[in-house]
Amino acid sequence: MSDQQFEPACRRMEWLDPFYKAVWEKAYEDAIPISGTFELTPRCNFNCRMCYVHLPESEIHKHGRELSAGEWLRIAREAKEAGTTWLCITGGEPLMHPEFETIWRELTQMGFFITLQTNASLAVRYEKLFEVCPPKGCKITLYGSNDEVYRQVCQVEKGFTRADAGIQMFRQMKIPVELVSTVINQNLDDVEQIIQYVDKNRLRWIPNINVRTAGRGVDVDMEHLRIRPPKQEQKSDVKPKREFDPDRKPCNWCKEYRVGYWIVWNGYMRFCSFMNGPDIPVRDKPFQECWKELIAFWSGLEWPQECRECEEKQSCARCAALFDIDDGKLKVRNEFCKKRKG
Amino acid sequence: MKLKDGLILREVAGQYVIVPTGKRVQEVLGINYITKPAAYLWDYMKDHEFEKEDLIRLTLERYTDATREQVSADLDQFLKGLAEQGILEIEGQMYGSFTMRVPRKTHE
Repeated sequence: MSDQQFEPACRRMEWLDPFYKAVWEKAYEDAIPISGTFELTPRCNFNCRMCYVHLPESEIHKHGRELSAGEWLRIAREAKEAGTTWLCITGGEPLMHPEFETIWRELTQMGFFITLQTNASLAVRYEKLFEVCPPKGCKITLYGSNDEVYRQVCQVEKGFTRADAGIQMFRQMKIPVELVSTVINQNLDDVEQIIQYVDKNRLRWIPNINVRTAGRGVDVDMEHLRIRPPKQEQKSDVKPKREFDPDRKPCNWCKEYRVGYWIVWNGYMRFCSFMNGPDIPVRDKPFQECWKELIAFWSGLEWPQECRECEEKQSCARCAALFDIDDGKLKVRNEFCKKRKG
Repeated sequence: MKLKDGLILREVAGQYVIVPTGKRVQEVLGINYITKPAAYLWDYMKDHEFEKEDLIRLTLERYTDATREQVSADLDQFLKGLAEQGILEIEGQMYGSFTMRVPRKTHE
C-alpha cells in the first residue's frame, strides 16, 4: 500500500460514534489540530524509575525553561482558534507547575474537553479548585497496591496512600477516572493486587509493559526495569507474519497523524512525547505557524536509508518514536536495531 | 426557558459540539453535538430566554421551504434532548447529573 492509499486511523475505527468519526475524518483531511497535549512541567514529586520526562529542579535549566502561565494560556487561545477541542494536561506531574492553579482555572473556562493526567498524590491539595473547575476525565498512574511497591517503583514514601487519597477524591466528585499502570520488574509481583484495587474501585485500567527511553535527556535503565514476556515456541512450518508495508511512512499509522500534537514542557511542538524532535518553538512563534511546520515535517519524514534497504523491513514492527531525530531526520538507535535483528 | 450558563458551542471540523466549562463539566456529561440548523438557533438561545414558538419562528424565517409541523416536531426532539442532558433551565424541572459529596476520610 502506498502513502496515497493510506487509510487514516479514523477510517479504520468503524466502532466510533458518528460524531467522532466525522470530526476525525474531516480533521485528517484538512489537517486540523483537534487534539493536543500540554506537558506543563518536567517537575514531579515522584521519582519513577521508568519516567523519561521527570527532571530534578536543579537539572531543568540545562534543558530549557518552563513556560509561564501567560505563555501556556496564549498557546491555548491560539490552539483553540486553530481547532483544538480535546486537550490533555500532563507532566511530569502537572500539579507541580509553579502556576498550575492559574493555568488550570483559565483552561477549564475556555471550552476544551480536558483530561488531566496525574499521579493523583497532590490532588487533595487542589480539592477546592477541582470542585469548581473539574476535568472531564482523569488518567491516573497507579504503580502498586501499597506504599512498599511505590517505594520500589516511584522511590517515594507513602506514595500509594497519597495516590489513593487523590483517586478517592476524584471518584467522590464523580469525575471519570482511568488508571494506567506501567508494569516493570519492581511491581510485577503486585499486579494481582493492583487488579484487585481496580476491581474494588470499579475503574477502567490500562496496563502497559512498554518501557522506553525517549532521547530527551533523561536516562531510563531499561535493562533492569523491563519485564520480558515469556517466549513462545514457534513452530518451524509457520512463517513469521508480515507485519508492515515497507512503503508505509514513519508516522502515518499513528492515530494523531495530522490531527494531534504534543507541546513539551520547554515549549516545543512535536507529534510524539517519546521523540527528541523536531524543535518547533511554539513559545516564540504563533501556534498556527508551528502546526503547519509540524505537518510539513511529519509528512516529509522518511525511514533512514538503512531501514529502507534492510532485509527485515517487512517484518520489523517499528514506529518513529523508537528512533532519534537528528538534523531533522530519523536516526536508527543501535540497541533497537540489534534487538530486532537478534 | 433558557440555556444554562457555562456552555460553549464550538464548531470542530464541520461539526457542532457543546462544551461545558467550569462546574458544568460535572452536570453535562458525554459528548453533546447538534446539527447546523440547531447551531444557528443556539446563537439566539444563548442570549435570550425563549419559548419553543420563538425557535419555530426563527427556523421558518431561515428555512422557508420547511413546514411548521416538521419544524415543531424536530424542535420537540431537540429541546427534549437538551433538557435531558442538563443543558436547559426549565422552571420547575431538574435534569442533568448532580452529585453530593460526603466528608472525606482524612489521609495522612
